[in-house]
Amino acid sequence: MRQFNALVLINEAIAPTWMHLAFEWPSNLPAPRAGQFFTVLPAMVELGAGTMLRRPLAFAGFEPEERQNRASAATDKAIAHSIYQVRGPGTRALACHVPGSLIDVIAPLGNGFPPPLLEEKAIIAGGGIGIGPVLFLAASLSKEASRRGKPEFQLVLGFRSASLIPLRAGSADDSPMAFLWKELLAQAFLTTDDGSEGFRGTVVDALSSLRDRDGSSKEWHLYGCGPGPMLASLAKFADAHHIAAHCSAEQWMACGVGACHGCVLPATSGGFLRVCADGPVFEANQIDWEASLQ
Amino acid sequence: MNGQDTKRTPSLDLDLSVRIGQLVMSNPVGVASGTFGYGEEYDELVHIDALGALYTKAVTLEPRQGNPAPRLVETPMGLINSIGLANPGVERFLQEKLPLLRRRRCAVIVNVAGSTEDEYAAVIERIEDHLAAIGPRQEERCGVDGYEINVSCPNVHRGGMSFGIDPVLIERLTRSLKGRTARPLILKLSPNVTDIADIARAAEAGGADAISCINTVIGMVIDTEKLRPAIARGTGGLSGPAIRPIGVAATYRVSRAVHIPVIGLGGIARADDAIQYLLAGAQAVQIGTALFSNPRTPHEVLEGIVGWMRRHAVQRVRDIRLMLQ
Repeated sequence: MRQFNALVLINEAIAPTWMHLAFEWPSNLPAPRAGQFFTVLPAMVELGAGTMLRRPLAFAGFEPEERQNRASAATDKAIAHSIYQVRGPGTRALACHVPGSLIDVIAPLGNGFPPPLLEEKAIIAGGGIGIGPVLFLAASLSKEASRRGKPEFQLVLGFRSASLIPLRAGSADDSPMAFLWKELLAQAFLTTDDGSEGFRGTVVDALSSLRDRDGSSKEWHLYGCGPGPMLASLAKFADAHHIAAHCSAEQWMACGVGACHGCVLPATSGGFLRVCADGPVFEANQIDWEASLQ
Repeated sequence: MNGQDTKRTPSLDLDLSVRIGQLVMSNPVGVASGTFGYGEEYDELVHIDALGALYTKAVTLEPRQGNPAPRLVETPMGLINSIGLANPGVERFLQEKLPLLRRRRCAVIVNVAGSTEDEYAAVIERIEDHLAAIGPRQEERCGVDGYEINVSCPNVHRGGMSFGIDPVLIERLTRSLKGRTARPLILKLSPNVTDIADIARAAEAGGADAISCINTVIGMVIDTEKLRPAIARGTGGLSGPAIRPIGVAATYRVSRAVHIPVIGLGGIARADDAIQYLLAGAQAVQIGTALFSNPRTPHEVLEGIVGWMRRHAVQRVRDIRLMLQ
C-alpha cells in the first residue's frame, strides 16, 4: 500500500446518487484486484458536518498502462475506477472533485476475490452499490483466457428499481470503462425488488431459480457484494447447497489498514474479524451475518 | 544555514529532545495508543523510526476480543469509538509484537490496561521478567522504553476508569506499579472527571514520571431512523479535532498542578494544534485520530513545529511551555 495524490480523470454521475470515479494509478504500484479497496480523503468543507475520516471505496475496474494514448482518456498511465454512492458529507465532498483535481488516496488495501477453480462456474452476485467489485471481477474473468477456455461465469445484479440501474439513457459517461460496464450489464441477469425490470425479487431469489435451470456441468462458486441482508441470505443459500462462496463485506472504517480494530464483524468461530485487514472478502461462512445485522 | 539544508535536516541547530524520567525522546511528536496498533500496520505508510515515540495499543493480562460491532461512528470533526481494548494479551504481545518493536529506533511506550491493581501489576511484571530473560541484543533496542498506564478507557466496564476518577486509587496504583519497574511510568488521564488536576496531583504523589492528557471524552450518537445508538455499546469515546480545546484546557490546568512533564493529546491534526498544547504546558504531544485521515500527520506536525520554532527564535522545544503570556 502507498499514500499518493491521484489525478482525477472522471467523476461523473451514472445513476441517481451514483458516481463513476476514475483516477491515475502510479506506475510503481501493483494493480488492484477485484475485491480490494482504497481510502480517499476528499477536500472538505461543510458547516456543522465537517468530516475528517477517509472514505473506503471498492475498485470497480482497472485499465493497465498503455503505450499508445487512449482516445478518450487524458492519460497513458494506468487508471483505477470506482463506483460510489453520494450518501453524506464525505461522499458529497468527493463528488465535487472535478477532472484535473487531486485526491489523496491510500491503496491498494484489503484482500481480493480468489479466482474460481477450473472446474467451477463463477456466479457473481451484486446488489445496489455493491455491483462495483463484482463488475470488476466479471471483467477480470472475461479477459482471462486459459488453455481450457475462458472461465465460465454468470453475473446476477439486483436493484431496488429499474430507474436506479446505472449507465442507462441520459448518462453522459462515454468512457471505455463505462462501455465495458454497459456490456456486462447487458449480459447480466437483472433483478429488481419492485419488478420494474427483469426478475422480480432479490438476487438470492433469482439464484434459486437459476440453479434449477443451470445446464452447466461445473460446480458453482458464489461471489457476492451488496447490503448486509443480501450477504446474509447469500451465505445461507451457499450453505444449504454446499457451494463455495466469498462475500465482500462493508463496515464503518477509521484507519483502513488494520490498526484500530474499528471495522469488525462477528466471526462464526467467535471473536471478530477486521473488514479492512482480514477482508473485505471473506469466505461466506467466516462471518456471523445474522449477528452482524442486529 | 541555507534554505536547502533547512529542508533536508530541519532540526540541525534545534534541540527537539524530550526527557521523560530517564528516557530521552528524539522529538516531541508521538503516535497515540489505540490508533497505531503495535506499529506493523502503518509500516508502509509512516516513517516510524522518525517518530518521537510510539505508544502501543493497550496490553492487558488476558487476550480481549473487544466490544460488539458497530464500534465506530463519525461526528463533526470527530470520531466516537468503542473498541473495548481488543488486544492479544501480554503473552502474545511478548511473542508476536515485541520482536518488531525492538527494531524500532523511536521510543516505544507500552500502554497497559487492567481491571484491577493486580492485573496492571501482572502485565508490567510479566514484561519486565521477559525483558530480563532475553537481555540486551546487539542491533536491537529493548523494545519497551516506558509504560503508559491507561486509567481512562471509557469503553470497558472495569477497564481503568474506576481508577481514573479516584485520586486515592490513582496514587496507590501508581506507587504499586512504580515499585515494579525502573522504566518511566506515564499515567494517561481521563477528561471525564470533576477535576483532572486533582487526579494528576495524585499520580505525581504516587511517583508518576509524566502525565498523558487527555484520553477520549464520553460521547454518543443516536440514529434517528433506527431509534437506537449508532454504536453497539451506546456510548463511546470521542476523539478528533472536536475535543482539541478540551485537551488544551486540561493540559493547561494539569501542567500548572504538577511538576512532572505533561504529554498533550486530543484532536491534534496540524502543527498549530500541537503548538497550542506545547504553549499550554505540554513537553510532548501525541497524534491519534488524525492518523486515520492522513498517516503523514506526525511528520507534517513536526516540520511545522520546527518552522514555528525558527520563526519565534526558540531553540529548545521544552522551552515552548514557558512562552505563554
